[in-house]
Amino acid sequence: MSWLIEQIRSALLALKASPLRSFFTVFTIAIGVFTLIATKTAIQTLDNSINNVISSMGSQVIRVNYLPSVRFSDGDEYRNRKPITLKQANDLQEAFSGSMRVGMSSATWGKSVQYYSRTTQRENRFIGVNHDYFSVLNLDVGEGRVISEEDVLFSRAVVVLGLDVATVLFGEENAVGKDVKIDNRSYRVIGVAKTRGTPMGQSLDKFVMLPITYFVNVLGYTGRARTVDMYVESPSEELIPLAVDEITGAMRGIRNVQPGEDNDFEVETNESVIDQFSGFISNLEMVGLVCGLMALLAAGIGIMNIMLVIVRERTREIGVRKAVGAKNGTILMQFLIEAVIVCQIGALAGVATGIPAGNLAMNMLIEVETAIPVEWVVGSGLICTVIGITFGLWPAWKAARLAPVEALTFD
Amino acid sequence: MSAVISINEVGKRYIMGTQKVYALRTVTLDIEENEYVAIMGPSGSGKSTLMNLIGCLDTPTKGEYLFKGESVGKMNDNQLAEIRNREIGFVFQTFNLLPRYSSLKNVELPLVYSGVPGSERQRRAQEALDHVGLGDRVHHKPNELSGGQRQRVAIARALVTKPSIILADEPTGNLDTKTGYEIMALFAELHRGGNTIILVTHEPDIAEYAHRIIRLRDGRIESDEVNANPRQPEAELAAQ
Ligand SMILES: Nc1ncnc2c1ncn2[C@@H]1O[C@H](COP(=O)(O)OP(=O)(O)OP(=O)(O)O)[C@@H](O)[C@H]1O
Ligand SMILES: [Mg+2]
Repeated sequence: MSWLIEQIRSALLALKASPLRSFFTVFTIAIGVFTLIATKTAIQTLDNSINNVISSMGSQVIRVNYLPSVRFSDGDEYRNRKPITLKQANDLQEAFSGSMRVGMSSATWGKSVQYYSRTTQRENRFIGVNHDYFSVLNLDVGEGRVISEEDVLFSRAVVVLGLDVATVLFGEENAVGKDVKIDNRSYRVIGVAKTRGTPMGQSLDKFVMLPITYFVNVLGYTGRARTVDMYVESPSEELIPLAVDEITGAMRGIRNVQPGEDNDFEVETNESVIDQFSGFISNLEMVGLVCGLMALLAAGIGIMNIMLVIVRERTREIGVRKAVGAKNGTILMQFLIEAVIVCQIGALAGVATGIPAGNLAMNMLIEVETAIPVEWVVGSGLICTVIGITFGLWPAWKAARLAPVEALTFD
Repeated sequence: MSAVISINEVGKRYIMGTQKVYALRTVTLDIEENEYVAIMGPSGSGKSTLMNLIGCLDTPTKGEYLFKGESVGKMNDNQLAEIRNREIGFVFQTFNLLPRYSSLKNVELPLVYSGVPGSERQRRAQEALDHVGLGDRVHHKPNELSGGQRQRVAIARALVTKPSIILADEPTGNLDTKTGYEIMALFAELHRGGNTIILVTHEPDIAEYAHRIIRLRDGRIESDEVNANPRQPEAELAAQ
């Protein structure tokens, strides 16, 4: 162990001795690792956001939106699309009444909720929903009841609180039956939702739900930025394709899409979202992997060259070490460790820059959570160790094999 | 048979292209424990070659070399490395210190290779540097030391594993006369302490410190004499 530390120390010392050369060697490795890590990070952010869409609902749920749920930037192709209105949503529900349930939601952000002197942060989603929204998305209350068909029909000022909101305002007390204020309007609390967990460190319990009719008609949340999302429950997984066709047909009618024109809305299933990106993801993965490995291969050859120069430069040192008792294996290890350390520093630099780069790049395209591809970070470390050993082996072996006298008299 | 070093008709031949170069033709030689031997001879006579063979840095192309009764010719690289590490301390004309390392680290080096743990290594290296009078220069790098000080560091490195044999190839070759005498005083002290010392030099006044003088010429021993009246470096230094 102390021997290894000594080896690492002496390797670092040797790297410090010619900083510019060490920098370039490290740099070449870093480029390869950067490519690998940045690509994988980007893929993971995309995977995450797809999984967020998918895992938020059951596999039988078909989503109807006016924009795709995962998309690259707000491209021109969607610019002319109009949001889905509550009326259109109601029409669709009408069309399938009795055969499929249609959940609806329309949301805005950044609301605070007040109960006498207590107020939450302005961080809550404020979501107008209908009765079926709860059953289709498997949401349930821990206390009280969910929003009923009558609540929606009569546009009642009632709310179901997310658990975080209820906890801040009421603590251990029962919230049901109390009146809270949002934007100076009073709402009766009818239920507190069960917790939806804290995936990725972000609580999903910061929301207030109210009847969608109140949200749209009374509060007037309509227009460009306010669309109604629909969640249609297919009777079974086998019937999903059929249901998608029926929904598409009905929506074209409702939104007056002329024959021959493209849909101006999206009908998505978990499968269709995955399909939409799987090709892109696997291509990106391939390109990243090939480019990264090629760069690392090139870097490896560079390392071999530099190590050969280093061994030549340090021939006398090798002679001295052998004269005082270094064995061939020890010298071999010394240079291998040096090569591996260069590679590891490069890997570290590549990881440290690749993760932010991948995240930043994807953040410009879609809204994503920060991702860290842990397996690939570990993998890069391993690959770099293998590269250090592979390409360091020949130079290290040359060093180890030097005859002591010749090494000592070399100049 | 108390000879630590027993060389029997040993030779070293190099092949350069089609030509054979005899660095050492035939040498037969015994050196006992705690001898103080100087090897002299003109340039190219094979002094360094003989020294490297004795120090197991090189292997002969003919003859037999017994080190403490064991045949060096039959040893592999690792066994030779172990002998160099434990039994032999080298001192070179050009010091051969590692430039990036402090005195202490340079002196520790042989101990690293014999697997001595860090703290003990430091203690022993410090001790060796104290011994050569450089206890206050442990953190200096070679280029921050004078030639004489560098050679003292090299001697400390040679001593640190407590080898029985010290081999020195022209140890005073790069030093001025006075510093050379100081180094010779150090060798005299080591000799009194029980070490076997073998020293290559082409300066007769340096050879006069040894108790036995071997002269080489053209790869052969020309003469091998006892020096009945070796010089006493400490006395000379004191007299100055
Ligand atoms: N690696 C080698 N290849 C070929 N010839 C060599 C080699 N090493 C030494 N020789 C030759 O062997 C002979 C003896 O060399 P050696 O170094 O032992 O001489 P030396 O007595 O130490 O001389 P000096 O006083 O100049 O140091 C020389 O003629 C030298 O050219
Ligand atoms: Mg010589």
